[in-house]
Amino acid sequence: MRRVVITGAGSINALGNGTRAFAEALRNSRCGIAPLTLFDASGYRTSCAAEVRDLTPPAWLKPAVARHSSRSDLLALIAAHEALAQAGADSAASGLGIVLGTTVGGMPGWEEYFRQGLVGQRRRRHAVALTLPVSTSVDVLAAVFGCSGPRLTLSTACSSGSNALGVAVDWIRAERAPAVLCGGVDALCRMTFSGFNALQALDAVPCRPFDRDRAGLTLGEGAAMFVLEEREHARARGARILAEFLGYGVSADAHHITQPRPDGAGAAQALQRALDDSRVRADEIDYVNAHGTATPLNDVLETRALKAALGARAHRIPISSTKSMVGHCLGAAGAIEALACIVALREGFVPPTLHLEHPDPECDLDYVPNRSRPHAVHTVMSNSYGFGGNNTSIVLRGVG
Amino acid sequence: MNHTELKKRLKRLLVDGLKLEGVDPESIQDAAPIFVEGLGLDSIDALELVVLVEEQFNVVIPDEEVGKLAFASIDALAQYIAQQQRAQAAQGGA
Amino acid sequence: MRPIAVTGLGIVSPIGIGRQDFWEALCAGRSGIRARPNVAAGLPRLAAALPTFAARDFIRSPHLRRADPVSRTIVAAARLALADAQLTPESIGPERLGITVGSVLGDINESVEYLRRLFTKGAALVSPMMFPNLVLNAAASYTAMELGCTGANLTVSQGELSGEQAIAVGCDLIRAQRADVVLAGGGDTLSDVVTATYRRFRALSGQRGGTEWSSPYDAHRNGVVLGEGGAMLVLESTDAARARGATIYAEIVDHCSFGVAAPPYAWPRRAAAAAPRLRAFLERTLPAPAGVDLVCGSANSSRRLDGCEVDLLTRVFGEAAAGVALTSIKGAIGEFGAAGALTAVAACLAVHHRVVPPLCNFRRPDDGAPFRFAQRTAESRRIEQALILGIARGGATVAMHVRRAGE
Repeated sequence: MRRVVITGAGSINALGNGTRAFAEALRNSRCGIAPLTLFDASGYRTSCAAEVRDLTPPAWLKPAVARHSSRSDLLALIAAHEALAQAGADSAASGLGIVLGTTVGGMPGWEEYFRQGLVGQRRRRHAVALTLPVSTSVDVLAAVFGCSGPRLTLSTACSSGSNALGVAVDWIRAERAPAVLCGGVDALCRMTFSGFNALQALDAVPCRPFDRDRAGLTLGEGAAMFVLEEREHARARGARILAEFLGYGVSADAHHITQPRPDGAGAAQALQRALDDSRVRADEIDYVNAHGTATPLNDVLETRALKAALGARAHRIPISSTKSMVGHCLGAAGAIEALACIVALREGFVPPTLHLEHPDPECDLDYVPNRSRPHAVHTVMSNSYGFGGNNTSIVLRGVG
Repeated sequence: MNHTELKKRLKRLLVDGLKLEGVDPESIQDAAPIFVEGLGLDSIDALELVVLVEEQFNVVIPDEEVGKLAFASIDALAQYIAQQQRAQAAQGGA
Repeated sequence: MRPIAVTGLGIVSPIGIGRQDFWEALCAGRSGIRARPNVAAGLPRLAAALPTFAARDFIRSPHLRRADPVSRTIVAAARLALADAQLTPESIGPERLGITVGSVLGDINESVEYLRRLFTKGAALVSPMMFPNLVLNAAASYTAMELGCTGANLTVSQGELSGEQAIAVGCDLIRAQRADVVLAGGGDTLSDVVTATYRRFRALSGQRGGTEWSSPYDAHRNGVVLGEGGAMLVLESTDAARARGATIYAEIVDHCSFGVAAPPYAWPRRAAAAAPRLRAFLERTLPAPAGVDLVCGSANSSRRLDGCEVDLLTRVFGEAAAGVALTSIKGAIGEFGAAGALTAVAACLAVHHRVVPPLCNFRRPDDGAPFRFAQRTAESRRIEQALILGIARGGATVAMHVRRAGE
């Protein structure tokens, strides 16, 4: 079977701009959660969010494109640019495919456009309506970077980013493209903020995954993009290989439209399928980047799923939730967390779970509380569980 | 509106607001628990009901504890709303 | 690439519910396009709306009482498709039954209603019940809950190609052995939001002069008419389908997907760059020397898209074009994100029944267009190989090669 490697990565989120900044922030156990400034948070149970500060169109982006770009487009463009530069791939010539995971698309701009209409504002930028569909970001990426390969958008709520990477892996294995620009993006908006607020799923303070007193998630925004490539293709052109993408697994809870299966069976299924697809045994997993949203339900079911699928191994490895650092970035989460895994593989440390003060007796694994830890890892896993019971696990391996 | 009318309206609200297809509002018993196996309601329904009641009757359900008591049954809910509305009227008069 | 069998078809469309009603209406040249009531004078009034239909008749799970209309359409289509394939989740194995759904905006009407409440009544009074329906994967989740299936579950979106892409991904899931059977397709709904956007950019029929009508590929076409609906196809390996003696409507040989340059948010004027790629694709998948008998395009009565498709196909087929039948069903069902799923259904039935689905309102093509354009009623024809073609605004393109099932 064709092997898939990662030859470029790009990042932007509350911890900063660029993969270097992200890696440093993870190592230094920094928290990107702060009071929300993008819109008025009064009336919500929290004003905490992991916001990207001072997002401005980069100098290399044509002003005309920047003017029409939604917030999601900009985040994706910035991350994609870094990934492509790192990979040194010529996007126009190579038939580069594009797969993007996202939940909100152009909603941040569109909800404001809609609100303006409600209050009778006369002059509105109607072109904003064109950016609403989630699939428009891949078109923007394709146009800016001149990509002529297959393109697709995955929208499976919180597992969109992981599923986008998974589809890209399948495309490369099936020779639908020699290389794929892929990842996830999502931007903060009032729709999602108010929705999670209405479901009482937001913690009033920065989220506390696996903590006994955890009370919900903290939303965030950002993008992580990668160039995935067939291994021999990468080697032949002398590309630098960051890590190998071994495989992924996906399952459905078929349980409830918001709540996950409390016994973790759906999550365990995705985990097992990922191990099988990657041809990796449970005892080879060195680290797990958890979905770890800090909702009362998720953290327990995920602990159960890890024990069920990894057996004794679950008790011997570090597991952490970087959502405690960058928030829950919805469609971008799976991709951002894949990047955290790559950082761990390459730099020999595991990122922490912040704000973990009081262990929950039902969450009794090693969640790397509060401080990152030097720890060499070779094969790692990341979990993402989407609203509606869409579970995905991915497996990555270090090189060299 | 009188108490009987209020209860009728609440039953209608339950069925329409929570999209309980095929449930006849008249079949909901005044004193029976609302959140019980029979109607198949879950936590999302509970949250939705709070919003519906707050909006349609202009009352406030300040927290989960109050909510649990208020939503114990149609009788309890009608009583809670009537109480709240009386309190508001008293404040308005003062 | 292993061919994938299509063994079940479920459709909820403006011209009929279920495979038989849909096909019969389509072949009779019926259109679901009607004048909508309550439209202000001077504005375009045509659309292809779904008939009033009780999704409840097809849905069994009590969980779905809160499901939005788009999810209900898709779940109903999934139930119809499974029944049509004579399969159950138990007979397949719930872990091996996958679901792929494509949609461009999902439950957009509820999204608008949700935001209206947020902005007029405040955060405390938004509907907690509505919010979960607003993620694009709600339909796929409800389908999994309805059927109790825990297999691979993906939701995709690619503008007007959302339906075709869901089917393409579904086929690939089977080829990658991530599922044994996949329910693939999608749905979208009519909405004031979408209508307003098309109208603002003067893309609807009648806005730039002429009678308001839908006439894909016709020389006098003058703009898009919108529609809604959903379809789900049952996909499985041809070996498995044959082993259980299933009716195979068609085999999906393979697909290719790529992008051509286009103005932002608009259809490409010309897609000449796509011609060599499409030709190479067909050379790979078609048995020489037989060619394509029928193309089911995505033409939607817009001046630009329809012309672009004909230009591209002319470059691909060259002199052989005169022998290739060309049709589009958008005149019957209107244009919407997941319409390609219904086009795929029509293409499968076309090869199965050896009938070219009609082109609504078609009189004559653009000058010089060389194809055997479909007529206004269905036409029997020798059809062995068919091509489904879709081009989206922004330039994404999908081509899917479909053939008659071998005896």
